[in-house]
Amino acid sequence: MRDKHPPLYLLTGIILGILAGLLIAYVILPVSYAYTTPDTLSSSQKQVYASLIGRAYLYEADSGRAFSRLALLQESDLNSALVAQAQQLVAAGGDTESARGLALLAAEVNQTNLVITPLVQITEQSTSITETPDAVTATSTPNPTEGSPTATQPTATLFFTLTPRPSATSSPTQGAPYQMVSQSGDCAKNDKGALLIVNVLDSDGNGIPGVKIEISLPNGGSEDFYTGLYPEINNGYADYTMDANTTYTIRVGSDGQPVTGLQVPQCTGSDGKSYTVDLVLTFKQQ
Amino acid sequence: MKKRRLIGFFLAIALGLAAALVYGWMIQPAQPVNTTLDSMRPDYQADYVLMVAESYPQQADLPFAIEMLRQLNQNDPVQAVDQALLTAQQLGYSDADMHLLAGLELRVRQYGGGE
Repeated sequence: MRDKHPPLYLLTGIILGILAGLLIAYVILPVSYAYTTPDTLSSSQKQVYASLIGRAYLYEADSGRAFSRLALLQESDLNSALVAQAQQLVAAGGDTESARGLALLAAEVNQTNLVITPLVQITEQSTSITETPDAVTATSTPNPTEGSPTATQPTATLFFTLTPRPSATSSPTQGAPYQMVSQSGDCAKNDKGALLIVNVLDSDGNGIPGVKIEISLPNGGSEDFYTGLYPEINNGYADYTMDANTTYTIRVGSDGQPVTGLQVPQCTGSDGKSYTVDLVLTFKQQ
Repeated sequence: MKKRRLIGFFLAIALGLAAALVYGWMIQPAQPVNTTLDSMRPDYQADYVLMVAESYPQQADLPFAIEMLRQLNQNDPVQAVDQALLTAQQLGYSDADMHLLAGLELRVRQYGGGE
């Protein structure tokens, strides 16, 4: 007589085998990948990659190449990602040059005609000036321009061999020092803010991104922050949250004169209560 | 009869296991996520090394450059640059880029590979 019951032990065995196999294939011994692409990197490794892109951009000033590289990371909101990482780098006391490069790239997302002078060229020029006065003429001559960097977003294919070298266009981040032209803390605003708002403008009154602002800290150290992280406000805009009981000194740009005695403006309302407002400073390139 | 069932049970487990492994490793493998820089395709690695060469042109920057190269080859940063040079040559990098890579290779080698 044949057994009418279904072979449940076989079914149980297969299910157990499948479960064990899936556990092994996806958790214990998943396929290890080689030949991956940058968009699959972990977030920390993406940050390393992006900070290197920012730094390379600062040195080479090749925006076409920088944006080709950034496109490989496949960020859905490139501008926000760049701003966020630049802010993180500054806040964590990380590589300020990378932060500056990323801030400039973030600004360039909205302002595609932005051109900077490659830092490597500035370094080479200053080295030549130090070494021999005769070399100044030779090294100060701009290199012949081979073409303009491509502004379009590239596809994730091999791209980096044919990108033209950067041209030696004058830099918005270098040049004449910045001078403070106005300082205001408008009590009428009654915004109860405690921000130090810095606007850095060129001689034509346009905001300049990527300008370093050095601010003294209560403990005696200093911190850097940069313009250009809020292009939606102004390319030359930067802000810093001040401590109400601290007096600060700031310097805008590497050659700027320090501005001392900066404090959160204290105002008194009609009800006799005191409140604070934002302190707004405007610097202009002379 | 009992022995036959036991053999059948283990054979069923083996069958299920094999089927799941074929599915998980070959048909629908786990997608690459959270990968590391050293697992990138050689052309991306070569461009990474080029970025290092562009970003750290000064001799004083070399320790930082070596740290970045260790992301590709923890034990031998020189090897990472050598591999990048080979890949760059195969891909026909421009002379300027080859010059940058060769300069980096020389500097890292002179520095002792960061050891």
